[in-house]
Amino acid sequence: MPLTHSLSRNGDTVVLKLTGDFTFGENTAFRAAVDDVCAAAAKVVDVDMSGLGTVDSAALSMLMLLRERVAKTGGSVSLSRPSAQVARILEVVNFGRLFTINA
Amino acid sequence: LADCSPSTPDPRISVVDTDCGDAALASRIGAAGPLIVDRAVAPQWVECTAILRHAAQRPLVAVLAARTVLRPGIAAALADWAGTGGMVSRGTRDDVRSVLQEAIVNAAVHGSFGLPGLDSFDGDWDAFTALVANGAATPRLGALPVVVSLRRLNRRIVVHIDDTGSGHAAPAGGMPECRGGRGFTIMRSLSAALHVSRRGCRISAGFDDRRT
Repeated sequence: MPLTHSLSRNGDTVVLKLTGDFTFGENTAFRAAVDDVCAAAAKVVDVDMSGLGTVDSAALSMLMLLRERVAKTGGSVSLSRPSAQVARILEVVNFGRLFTINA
Repeated sequence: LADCSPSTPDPRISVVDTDCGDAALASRIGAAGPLIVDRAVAPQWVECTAILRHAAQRPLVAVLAARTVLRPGIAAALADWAGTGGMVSRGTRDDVRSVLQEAIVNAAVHGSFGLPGLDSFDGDWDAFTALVANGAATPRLGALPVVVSLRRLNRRIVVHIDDTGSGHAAPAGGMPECRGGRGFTIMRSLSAALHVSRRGCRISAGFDDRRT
C-alpha cells in the first residue's frame, strides 16, 4: 500500500498522519512529507502512525532525519498510535529512547 | 551463486514482467507459480545452473532483479505469495514480510550495489538514496539477481535471501542514536533464528509457524 501523508494543526502541534506501508521504496514520498512539515515551521510535530501497516529500518532512519531537521529549529518530534506490529518494531530498536511514543 | 555457467532453464519457471506499476507488480507476484523469475534479471543469471539447482531444492523460489526488490510493496507481495502457496500462515505473515523487507533491501544495496550503510554518509540521506538509485539504474547492477526461497520443515519456515555481491558484514547492532544499522536488529527480533553465510551474501531466517 503506497505511503501517503496529510498535515493538520492541533494548537501548537502539527500532526503528520502517515498512511500505507512506510519502507525504503517510499523514501521519495516521505521526503515530500518532510518538506511539508518544514514548510509549516512547526515546533512540535506529532507523527500519527495509526494508518501504517508496517515500517522498516529505512523508515526508522527517515524518522530520525525528520527529528534532526525539526530539532535544527528548536522543535521536537513524537510518535503516536502505532499498530501492534509497528509498535513491536519500535520496541525492538529501542526507539522509546529517542522519541516520545504515545500509544 | 557466483560460479555459474549457462544451462537449460527450468521449465517450471514462470517469468514475471516487472515493467508495470507497483500495484500491478504485486498482483503478478501474488498470482505467480512456485518459481518466479523476474524478466529484468540478466539472462545469464536466469540460465545459471546454481540458481536452478538452488530452486530445485526449495518449494518456493523468486529470482528478482536488484532494482525490482527496491520497489514499494515487494516484500508484502512475496509474503502474500508464500501465503497463497500454503507456506506461511496469516499469523506469521507480518514477521516474514518484515524480515524479507530488510533482507532484500540489504541484498540489493549492500550486496548487488556494494554500498555502505547510511551512517557512512554522515546522515546525508540525499547522497545515500542518489547512489542507490544510480545502482538500480545501472543495467549491470540493477539486473543482478536477488534470490528469495522458502521451505517448510514441520512447523519451521526457513527463508533464504541470496545476492551475488562480494560479501558484506552484518553490523553488530547499532546504538539507538545511530541513523542506520537497525535492519539486523529487526530481523533477529522477529525471527526465531537468523544466520548469515556465504560471506554475508545469504541471510537465512527461521520462523515457528503454527498455521493459526
